[in-house]
Amino acid sequence: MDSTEFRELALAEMDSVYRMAMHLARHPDDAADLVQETYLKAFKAEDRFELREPGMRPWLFKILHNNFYTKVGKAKREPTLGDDLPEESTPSNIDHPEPAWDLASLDWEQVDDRLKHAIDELPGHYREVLLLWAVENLKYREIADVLGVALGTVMSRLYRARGILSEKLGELAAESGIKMAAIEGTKRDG
Amino acid sequence: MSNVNPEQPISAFADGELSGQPRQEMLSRSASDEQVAAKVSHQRQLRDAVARAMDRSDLAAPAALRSRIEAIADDADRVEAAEGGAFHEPAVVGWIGRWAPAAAAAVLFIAALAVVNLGRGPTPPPGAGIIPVGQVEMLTKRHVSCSTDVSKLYEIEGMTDTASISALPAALAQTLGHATPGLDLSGIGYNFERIGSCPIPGKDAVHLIYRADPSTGRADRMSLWIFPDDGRLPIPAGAIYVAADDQYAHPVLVWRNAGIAYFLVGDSMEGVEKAADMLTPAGVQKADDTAPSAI
Repeated sequence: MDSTEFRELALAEMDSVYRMAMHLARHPDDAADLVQETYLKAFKAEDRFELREPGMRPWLFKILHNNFYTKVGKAKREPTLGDDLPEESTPSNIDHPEPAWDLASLDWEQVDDRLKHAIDELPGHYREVLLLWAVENLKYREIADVLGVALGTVMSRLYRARGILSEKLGELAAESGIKMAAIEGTKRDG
Repeated sequence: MSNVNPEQPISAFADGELSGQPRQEMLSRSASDEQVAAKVSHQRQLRDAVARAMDRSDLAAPAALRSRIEAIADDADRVEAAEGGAFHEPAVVGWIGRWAPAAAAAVLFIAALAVVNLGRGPTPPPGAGIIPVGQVEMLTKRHVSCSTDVSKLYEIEGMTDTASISALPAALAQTLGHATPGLDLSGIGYNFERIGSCPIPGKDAVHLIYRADPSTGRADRMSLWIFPDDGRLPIPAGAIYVAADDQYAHPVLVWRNAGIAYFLVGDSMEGVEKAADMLTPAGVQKADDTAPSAI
């Protein structure tokens, strides 16, 4: 890939990179600074980029992620239970119960609203993994690469984040008086 | 798999992350167990709901940011051409080229961050560390690319007279909302060449290009950026600081005064020092009145 093609590919991802920066930094000025630094580094590291199946976006996300956490400092990283667990060994005793009601039964506007609030309240590491998973549609392995963590860590964060969100939506379901008869008796872990 | 939460394969299956035998097992479980099927469905619904809740496809990178980054991308080629590939050569002091070894890059990074006052004081100046290395690089790249090809400067909206250096302060006062001092550097051998708007280093920045008068026997160039001081430069007004010193191919000086911020980039330290002296109003209190390392 020549430089022109590389830069065109990189620039084409700017909106996605900016959106991710906004999710991380949560302020337009900080997000813009992050994006600018990300691209500066990306242009310099052009020769280290290899076009693989996931494309340019995960690579830019990785630079962005590293930039962000270098900025805020490792000391300020929010602790996330389960981060140090070995790959594919997330124990069940840290997990949240799995709601078995049907999301389709809920009012979507309310779901969106409740979810947005719940996501906003999540630690940054959970938000990031959720975004890469749900919005960017990255595979677990790609998310692990972007974040520089083990695959098991991604699964753990994702599982816990989903658990938290499910719980919030479960509250909404309860408020709405929704129970799914077919699965009401579902055994819950924890 | 004994340590794995029994629910995790369901999530992984719902996410399309299983293959081979584990996937076959989940397919069987899902087909034979209503509760498993409901959980898989729930996980997929949740993913869709999260995607919808977090989706910000309406949010695009601001135009100013896009312009800045496109200018950076554009400049990389121009600078490389203008400097004979210097952009990539670690031997050029002041560049953190992409081929530079990590250690050299680290040293240069620290050097660029260590904004030292123009004088020779032993203590760090109050403004040390205010300019990220990325900004120094952008300024120097822009200096090289725009002074090499002045047509790269954008026209300034609403500025009617850009031909005469003597008329510029009045015209700029309207554009920037603050008065600027005289901008004529011909007294030290630099002729004004062109002015244009610029996406860096601050909002509403204008970029002036000067070129050494041929009679001086020199061919160096000077770039002066002026923009409204938005308070983001944490240095005292009236003092001039070096963001990149004479170890760099393009020294960078920075100061702020009377509501305006200034970035001056040149091809020699001697040139930018003389220019800064000329551009700093006589009435401005020099930092060496309060700090030992100022000019």
